[in-house]
Amino acid sequence: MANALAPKKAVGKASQPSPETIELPPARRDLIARLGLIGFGALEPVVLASLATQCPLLLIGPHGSGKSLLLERIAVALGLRWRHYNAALVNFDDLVGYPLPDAGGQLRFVETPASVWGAQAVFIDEISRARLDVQNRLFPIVHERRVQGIPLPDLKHRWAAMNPPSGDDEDSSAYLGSQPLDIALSDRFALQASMPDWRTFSESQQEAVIRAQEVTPDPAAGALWAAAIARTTELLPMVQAQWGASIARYVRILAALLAEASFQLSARRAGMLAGNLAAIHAARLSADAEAGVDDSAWIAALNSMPFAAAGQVFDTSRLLACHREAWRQAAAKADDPRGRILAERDPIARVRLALAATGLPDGELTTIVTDALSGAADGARHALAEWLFESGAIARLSVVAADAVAEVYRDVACVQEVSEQVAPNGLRHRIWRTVQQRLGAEPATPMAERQGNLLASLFSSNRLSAEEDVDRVLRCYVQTQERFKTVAV
Amino acid sequence: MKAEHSPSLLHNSGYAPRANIVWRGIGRGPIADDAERIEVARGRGAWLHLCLSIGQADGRYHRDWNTATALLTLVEPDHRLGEKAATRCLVERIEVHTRQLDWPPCLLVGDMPRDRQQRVTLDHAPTAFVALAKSTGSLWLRNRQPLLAPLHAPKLIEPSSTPMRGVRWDQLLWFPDGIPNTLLELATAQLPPGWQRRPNPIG
Repeated sequence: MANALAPKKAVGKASQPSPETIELPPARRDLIARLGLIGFGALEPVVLASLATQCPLLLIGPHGSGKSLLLERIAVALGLRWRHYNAALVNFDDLVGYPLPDAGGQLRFVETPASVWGAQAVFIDEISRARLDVQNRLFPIVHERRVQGIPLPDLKHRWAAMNPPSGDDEDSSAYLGSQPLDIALSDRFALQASMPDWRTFSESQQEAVIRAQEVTPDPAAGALWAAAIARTTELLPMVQAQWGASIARYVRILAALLAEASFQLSARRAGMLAGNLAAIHAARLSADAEAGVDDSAWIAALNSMPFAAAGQVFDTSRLLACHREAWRQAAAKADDPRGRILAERDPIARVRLALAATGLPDGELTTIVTDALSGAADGARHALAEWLFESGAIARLSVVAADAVAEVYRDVACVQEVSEQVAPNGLRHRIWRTVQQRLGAEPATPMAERQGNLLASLFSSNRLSAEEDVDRVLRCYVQTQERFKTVAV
Repeated sequence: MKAEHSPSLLHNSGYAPRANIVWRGIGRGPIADDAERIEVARGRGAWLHLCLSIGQADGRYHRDWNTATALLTLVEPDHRLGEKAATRCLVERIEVHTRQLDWPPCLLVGDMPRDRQQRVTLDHAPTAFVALAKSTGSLWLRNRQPLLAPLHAPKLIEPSSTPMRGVRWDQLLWFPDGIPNTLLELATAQLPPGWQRRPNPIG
């Protein structure tokens, strides 16, 4: 299983494309194009996965990007009984109808054409502009297909749309009225897709978008969509059986890598991502038997993150890097030493394993060392650079990486002169006094000289921002030195 | 906007006194002269400044240093080799001299404008060539294949400078455990006459 997980394409760092340049083969059916919509082909597996699994779907995009049109055309094509609510304007009475006592004295709701009873699909537009009390009332519809505690047995599909929320920054393109969703609400939308920007379309596609009103949906679109949903639903158990364990491993590693980048996935979100990946792969397989699961994983990762809706700035390039790394780690065989190295989260421990491994290419060692140098704390990375330099292991690194190691080594090996005037008893003065206390307590040994060089260098470059940093750096330096004492080159 | 201060506050308008922080490393103080610098560099981390200067009046001077033939005259003045053979010979000389130097496998390359205090200067062509030809960026590697490119581009000494016009090669290497004695003996021999060796403070 692990072998089959190996990506089809090389994922060497130098050749990594940016997210914008990734081009997945278009689905052969052009299901969305058949609805008369141009340039949305990339959304097809996401929408199809949502329809097949009946998981809530949230579309995020600027005004006029086709969010509502897409969902309306799908609902019409599939012949669904559906309701379209504007969350900024809707009253709760619009949703449930008017309460009236029945003959038995029980309260019942009088249905109206707009009430939610009997709907098979609900589309909540402008969900980010809803008042908090309205959001709270919409929450159970999205979450558990209930309203006022009453089940909605016919309801299959829950869709919502919103403009990108305004954040704390002064982004002129932000929508001031669009507020970030509460993370609990955002987390209920298993799939969260950003609408494609029509400015990135080809010239012919842009012109087709401009003339879109002249295009009518293909009458056969509904049947094709229904067939695709049925085929996806049929394939999904097979995908889960074949890929379930590998997908779980990939999601676990991806979640850990994202956590390192300060993006925490809840356990529920991790489960949703795994479910989305399987569903998206089934959706892609329903059109193309050769579809690769690695591409499906990227599509799932890209469309399963709850951060954008919650107003958190999320770098897609970072996600791509995490995805590639997670995929690489998940693809390693259990007995492959690289698997153990890549699975190790502690950057220093990872370098130790890499140095001890036989047959590891120097290029991979370079990558691991570079990651460790940028990821390890001050003190730890200095001890790492010192060891690499003085053991000669630096010779195995690329010129650029070796240079980076040498620069860090300089901090600890060379005497750093400090000459500075500071405010008496100010923060820098207090930090320096702490440095003096620590160094004054040591006899003038080579080890003490290195510690002095390190602290003076970090002080000069303003990397000691508080008095307690002095002890923290020294502790990291000494502990990491100890860890490398037993490593043989 | 105009700030108005009451006369009673004017006495408080001066600068607060500043605290001076001066640090030259553990157990290191200001160094008076080259002689002291050499003594300090015997047992403790120090920079070796390899500096090779050729003035126009020097018989070895060439207008164009972009050839191995010209460079080889600095280590083998009477050679009559062509360019290809001179290149081979120069590379071989660098490798032979590298093996004779008891240097660690890696050394840190320094930055010329700074690091003046713990710097011992040595004018020795073969050693300067070894230092330059095996360095890239911040790293000198003993086992690196010599690159002649850094040797082909010496710095020009300004025409107005005294005592000479000419070219100069510089390289700065950090020896973490002190500069080897063989090099310090050479550096000592190059000090101006009249200098008396002092006892080694490190022992």
